[in-house]
Amino acid sequence: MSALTAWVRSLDNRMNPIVVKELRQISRGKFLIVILIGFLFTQLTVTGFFSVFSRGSSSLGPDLFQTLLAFLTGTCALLIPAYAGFRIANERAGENMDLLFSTTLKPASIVWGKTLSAGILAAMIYSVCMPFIYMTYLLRGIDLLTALMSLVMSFGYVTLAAQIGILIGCMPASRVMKGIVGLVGLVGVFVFAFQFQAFPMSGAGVAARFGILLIWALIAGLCFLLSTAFISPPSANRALIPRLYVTGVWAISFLIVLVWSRIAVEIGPILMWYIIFGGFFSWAMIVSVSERDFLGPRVRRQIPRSGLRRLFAFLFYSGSAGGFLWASIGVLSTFLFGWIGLTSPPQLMDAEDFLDGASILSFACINLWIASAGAVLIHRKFLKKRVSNGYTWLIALGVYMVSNITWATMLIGSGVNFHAPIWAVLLFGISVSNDNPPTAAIGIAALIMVCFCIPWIKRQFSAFTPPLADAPS
Amino acid sequence: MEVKINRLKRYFGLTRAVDDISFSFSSGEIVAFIGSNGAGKTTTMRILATLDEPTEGDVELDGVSAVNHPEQVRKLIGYMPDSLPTHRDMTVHEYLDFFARAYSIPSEKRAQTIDDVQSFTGLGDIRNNTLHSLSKGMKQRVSLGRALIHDPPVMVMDEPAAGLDPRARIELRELLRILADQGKAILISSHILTELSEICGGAVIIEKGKIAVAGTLDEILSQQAPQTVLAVRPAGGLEEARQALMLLPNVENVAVVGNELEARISGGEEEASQILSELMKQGIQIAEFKRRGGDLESLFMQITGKEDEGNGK
Repeated sequence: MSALTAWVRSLDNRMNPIVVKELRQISRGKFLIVILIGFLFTQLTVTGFFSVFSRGSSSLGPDLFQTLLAFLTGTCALLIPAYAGFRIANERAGENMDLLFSTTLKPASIVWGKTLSAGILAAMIYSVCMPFIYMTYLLRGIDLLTALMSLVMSFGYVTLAAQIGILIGCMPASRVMKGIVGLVGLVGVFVFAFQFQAFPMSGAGVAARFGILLIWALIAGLCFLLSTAFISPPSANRALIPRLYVTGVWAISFLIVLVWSRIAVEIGPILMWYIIFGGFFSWAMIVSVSERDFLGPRVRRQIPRSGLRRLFAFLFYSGSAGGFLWASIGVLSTFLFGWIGLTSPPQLMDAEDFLDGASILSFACINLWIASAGAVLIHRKFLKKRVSNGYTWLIALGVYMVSNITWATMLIGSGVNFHAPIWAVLLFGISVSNDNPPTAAIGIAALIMVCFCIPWIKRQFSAFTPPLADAPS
Repeated sequence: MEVKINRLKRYFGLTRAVDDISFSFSSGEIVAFIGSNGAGKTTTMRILATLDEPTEGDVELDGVSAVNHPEQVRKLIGYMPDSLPTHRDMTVHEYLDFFARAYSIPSEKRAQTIDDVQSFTGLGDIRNNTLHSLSKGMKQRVSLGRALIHDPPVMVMDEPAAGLDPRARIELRELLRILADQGKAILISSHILTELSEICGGAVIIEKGKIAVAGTLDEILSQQAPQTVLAVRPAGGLEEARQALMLLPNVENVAVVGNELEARISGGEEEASQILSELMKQGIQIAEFKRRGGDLESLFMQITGKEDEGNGK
């Protein structure tokens, strides 16, 4: 056997089976051919149009580049996620995914294979566009580094969109629900692609661009882990890796925004961090209460015996009570560290803005916490036998909306002038008002829920034990 | 290879899909897994294939636990679900190649393995056809090929004969016999009980998540059906034959059903052959003489009937 054959075989053995399958299917279907021909035709038309109507313009190069890049980014960011998401959603609807799990293939390999296939598809389309993009350099007005950097960013954005598409495809929801979420994503993609058009010429430095790429990579990483968790069998410890990842990103990003805000002497980075993680952990509270209460033998045999490690495992392993506690600690820590970041010297500019934003977000987070805990109370006490745990999030949203509507009605009835618009009251429960501060009512509600939650979490923690025979030390 | 299902339970909320079942089977055996719809067959098979986790209990393959070591068990089991592959954009060969890769079969062996599976299942001629274009019987063969691609010692087959025409059913039956001769342990569920009784050495009948009866076919048929029903079609007079039958020992009851006599006798094959020779001795000409009842189908009806009566009470 020649060295080349051996190398090819070794490469073949290392290839992700999903990538091989997807690429075979892509090349067999008409999708790729239609897309490639469509791109070639559109670029020829656009280039021809610019050559005729903008001849002699000093900004011909940059204008054409921006137009081609916006078209490339927008189209790829729509088509590739839709294609990748649709394919995986279709496979999840049948028993194909089950068949994959009866093999030795891991869920992460499946999602990685899908991501890689989407990336290769994007790379094929980008390669078709390269000559046209390069031509804009020849027309002058744009340097190669800017063009290259913009293309890298565009490709990164498309990869992120593809990962979001895959995440939507993996969601354990009906096709209708996935379609609705997909449409919301579509609007987001459009808005962003529109903004993206101006970015190459915005004068943003290389560091800023890498910063954005890093944020995208972190979001894509979270989407990847969530997709893996979604397609993993219910018996798996699905929550562990996403929770560890989020905690790690939370801690590292706090240090980054702390340093960043000190260098820039402004609260923007901290406020953004506060909003992102406060919102994320609040969402995580609602999701986690829908998890199962009792773990199966496969996860239980991974529970450590020693006290402190068991406590950490309780927070990070799959399970409703542990997940709820993890998200609640996350919200509290975000409040606490946000405050530390704000108040530690030197004094930052516009600190009052932070307080306004923080109070609105805190109010919404506490409201969501009460709604999640209330949903657990309603479900576990009254509906457990009739409704599965998986629907607790729906009850939480119901409680949340009912409490906000009641609150808004009470405020309107008592003629209070509130600082937030009515939609904000209905959506976030925000009712910042000097005349009638809601703190007391929220505090009482929160206290009642704490009284209920502590015994529930204690019960769940007591049941969170390894099987007697094979607990790891 | 011995497969042990040990006190297996699977609850979905208040529903007890599988409720404390235990049985075992080993290499070279074909065991029929029989039950009404919703009896818990598919749940049990999915647990065996490590696609689901039991609430309690375990499945062991030569001592390897499906709960604790699902990754190892996946290498030992070939699972054939009741759904069929229907991809429009994938050929038979590509489908098998994909699963060979998914089972990490190295490239040096992969091509040969796929060829072997294709030739065993008779897919060689249609290897380049897309899955969507295949008949149901052919899709079933592809599904079997997929389950065999990593040469597992245990096969778990959920309704493999559903919707197949008689020819495809016979071919499938022959393939299963060959697999059993090769030493594979096979658990097969089907609603076509006559098919199962021809190829299975053992049977497990499950009803509402519990095992109603289990054992070798001979054992359970003799246990469950102490009475044998004989269908006798005399070549001559029906009444004369009826009279003669009534007077013979072990005959408990004789009824006329069309142009046949249906005789209920106590005992089994030995008593039936004595009755036949007595009739011949008496000069009664017999055109057809066969044993009815005591087959898998009647046994299943008897068991599920009992359950229904129990519920009626």
